[in-house]
Amino acid sequence: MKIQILFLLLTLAFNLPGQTVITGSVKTKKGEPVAGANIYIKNTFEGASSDSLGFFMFKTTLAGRQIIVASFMGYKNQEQQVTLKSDTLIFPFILSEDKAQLGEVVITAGTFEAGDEKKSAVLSTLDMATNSHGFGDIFMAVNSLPGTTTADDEGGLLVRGGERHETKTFIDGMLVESPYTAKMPNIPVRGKFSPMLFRGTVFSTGGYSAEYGQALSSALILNSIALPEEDETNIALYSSALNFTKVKRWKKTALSTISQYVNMAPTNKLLGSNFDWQKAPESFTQTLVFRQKMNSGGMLKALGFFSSENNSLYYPNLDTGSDDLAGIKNKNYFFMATYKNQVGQTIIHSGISLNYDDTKMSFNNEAIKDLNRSAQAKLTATRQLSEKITFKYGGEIFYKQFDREYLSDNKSTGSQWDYNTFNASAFAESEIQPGYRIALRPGIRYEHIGLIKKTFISPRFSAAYKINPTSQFSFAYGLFMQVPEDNSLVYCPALKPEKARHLILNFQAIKNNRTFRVEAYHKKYSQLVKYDELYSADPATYSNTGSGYARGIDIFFRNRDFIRNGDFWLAYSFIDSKRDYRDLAFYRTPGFITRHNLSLQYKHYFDGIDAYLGANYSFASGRPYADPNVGEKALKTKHYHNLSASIFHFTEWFGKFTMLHLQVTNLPGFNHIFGYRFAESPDEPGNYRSLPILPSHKRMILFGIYICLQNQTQF
Amino acid sequence: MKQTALSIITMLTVFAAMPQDTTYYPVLRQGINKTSQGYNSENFLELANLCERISLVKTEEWLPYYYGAYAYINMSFLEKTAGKKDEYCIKAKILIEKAKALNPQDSEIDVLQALLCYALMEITPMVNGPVYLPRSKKALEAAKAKNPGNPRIYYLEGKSAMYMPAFMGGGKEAAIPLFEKALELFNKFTHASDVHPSWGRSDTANLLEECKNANN
Repeated sequence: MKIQILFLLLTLAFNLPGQTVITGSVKTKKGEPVAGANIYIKNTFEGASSDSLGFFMFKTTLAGRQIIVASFMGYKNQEQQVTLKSDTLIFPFILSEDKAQLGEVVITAGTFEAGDEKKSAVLSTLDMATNSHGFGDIFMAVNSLPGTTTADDEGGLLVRGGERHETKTFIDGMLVESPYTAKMPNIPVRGKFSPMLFRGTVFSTGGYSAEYGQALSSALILNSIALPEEDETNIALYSSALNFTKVKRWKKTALSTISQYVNMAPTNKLLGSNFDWQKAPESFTQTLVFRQKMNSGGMLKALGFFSSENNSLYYPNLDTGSDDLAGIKNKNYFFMATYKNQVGQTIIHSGISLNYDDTKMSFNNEAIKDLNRSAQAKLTATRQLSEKITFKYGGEIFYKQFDREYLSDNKSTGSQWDYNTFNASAFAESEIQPGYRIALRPGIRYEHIGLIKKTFISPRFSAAYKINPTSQFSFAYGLFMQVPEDNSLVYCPALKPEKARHLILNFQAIKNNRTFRVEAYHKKYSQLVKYDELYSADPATYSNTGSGYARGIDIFFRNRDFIRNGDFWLAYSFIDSKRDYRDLAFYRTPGFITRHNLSLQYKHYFDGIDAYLGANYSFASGRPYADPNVGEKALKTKHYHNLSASIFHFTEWFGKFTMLHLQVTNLPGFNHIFGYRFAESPDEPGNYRSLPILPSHKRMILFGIYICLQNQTQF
Repeated sequence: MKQTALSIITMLTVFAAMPQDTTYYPVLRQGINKTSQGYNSENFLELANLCERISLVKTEEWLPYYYGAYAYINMSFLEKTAGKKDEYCIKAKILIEKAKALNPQDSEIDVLQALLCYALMEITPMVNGPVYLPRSKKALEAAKAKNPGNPRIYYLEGKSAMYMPAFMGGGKEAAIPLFEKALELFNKFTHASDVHPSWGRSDTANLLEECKNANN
């Protein structure tokens, strides 16, 4: 300070005639000095930067009326009119924060964002693709976030005590009816879409927007890439799969094709399998993506998808002692197109989708054929009413025809069931920011279910309060409803939708590369479907008398500043849930729920070898099961431990960018038991025979090479 | 004087159709000179602020944007916290885009893009590495296509090779020919003016020395 004054006096003493000295200090409203501010005479080059104490000084030979500006990143520019006349002018600039400095208030309750564009994102696209537990499966990558249950025999997303079908997947706002591969008993499903198709992902663990419906627990909202940046041709070769991608980009148009062929036979041969496969899983998927940017600024996105899969295996029959042969064949066609444009002040987003899903499940000589055909059309409009209020509204229609055919031994005596429904819904939602710190999002959703000719209203409300630029509280509440699964509806179309009520409280802090969030929730289920498994084709056994709850705490912590080039994350979920639904005899914890779930991940990048190493440890406490030999007492399986490791190495082969990838799950070879299967009836001494439910491989090893053949345009 | 005459001729041939505004050159030169007096954030911040002032007046000139971006990239290298590094890189990216829009054919801007890629990779190598490593290479290839005589291309290639392990074709030995080529080109390189990019020469010489010493 003293030195500054001395300096000032000196400069005053040496002030030459014809020169004006402009000096002073720049401070924030709180009185903190601003270092590095730019102070200048408007429309000239003349100026200076403030020093670490906020002081600045410069001389000018300019004269007359001028404007002095002080500017600094994140603060509003300050301007002062002056008249320069060869003297010394002292300016105490006080800068006020630009409201953007506080950052956007984003409602984070029940929401995880992934992507490369938003600061609130907790996962990047690359995290999604290189998750050491995921094998490039979007759902597996999302599964490393808290609020999900690790169930390697189920696959997909089991969110906060919800079943897989309670989570719905949306691409660019449109519902994806069949996001997973077809389910076989005890074999996990996988996601069908490549994570590289998407730029941003919003994973809602509850309390999601009124724009979406028909999901009791969760919504996974995937936003596809608008226009890919460059031409690209690449081949990925994995120990069990082959993938070919070609992207062609013109000025305003882009076309991509992604083909994938998966065959688990070599892997099963190499590693052995806990299952007795007759036909190891084999699948082919083809994705075509078209993009067109219109001259009007509108964006047309179209996606066509085809998949075909086939597998069968022998399950030991615990009653007869012989093996049952179960198989599945599935063909799925999916098409969607969306168009987004701006009409005046309103952004219009319209879309259509068509889905055709044909599944044949065979069991020895019997078979069930399911045909699911659906179509959806949706229109939403978003309008910014003022700087502080955004209003979004829209509607959709959905038609579905579901046919089931049962083929018995001699194929002639078949039974048939079907149902169709025409649903219409509308929603309105507004985001209001009364101050820079508060965001409120009230919403309401109206749904008409054609099948039962009933109308439902679901209110939603969420809010956020920003404490400071890095941390905030959020809250979410909502009513959610979902029509029962096809499996129940096809036998009993009169069933009412199942309902859930979510209450969520969240705290999140993001500073530099550290993210911490904790969330508590309470979810209450009602009108759950109950039936008797033995008479499942009889509509009379069905009712909406089930109920349940799920409550818990989710903690997420990620630190990328901890060790240079290191990235650590921790996800912990505690869940307490009980339900009386389906064919359960009493109110109890469903078999896939584990009370404690922990996932620790560490990734380290090695500059020198252009590689990164990832390790993932996950823990889940024992899963409940009932042993008919003991009675109805709830027993628990052993705790689940899994340590996986992966290496990604980036290099060049023949001048092409190449990535080598090795991934091993369950490195130490822990024995994983997901539960037990019991015989239907006791044997001679009165015991029910049992078999543990095991993963398909004790240890899974995946090796892959990814070669980028062509990568043309730059930056 | 000869230098000035030469640079004017070069400018006339290169930008025959474009009337060149050189009134800001002396001011910009002062800012650039200051950064060579000491490699620290204060000097680069001053350059960045100076460039901002110039570009607010001379909106059609690419050099102020170029040096603004160059200053922010260096500030990112000098900064310790990831959040600020990020901010500086975002600033640099915006400025590079502006410079490129004004002067798309100049290899210097591609070189600067490559340098920005290095800065981004340094923040979170795991996330940014796989994305920006190929991009930095592409940017340098693009620069080569526009002007194979730009020494900064080989200087950056040498720097990148220097820190890559030997079994991957990197290492100090592998970097020597690149630095030598850069130095040779630096000796031949004629600047369009004394404010056109000229950085990297002394660092190339130092790194070449370091690589050679390591081999002895």
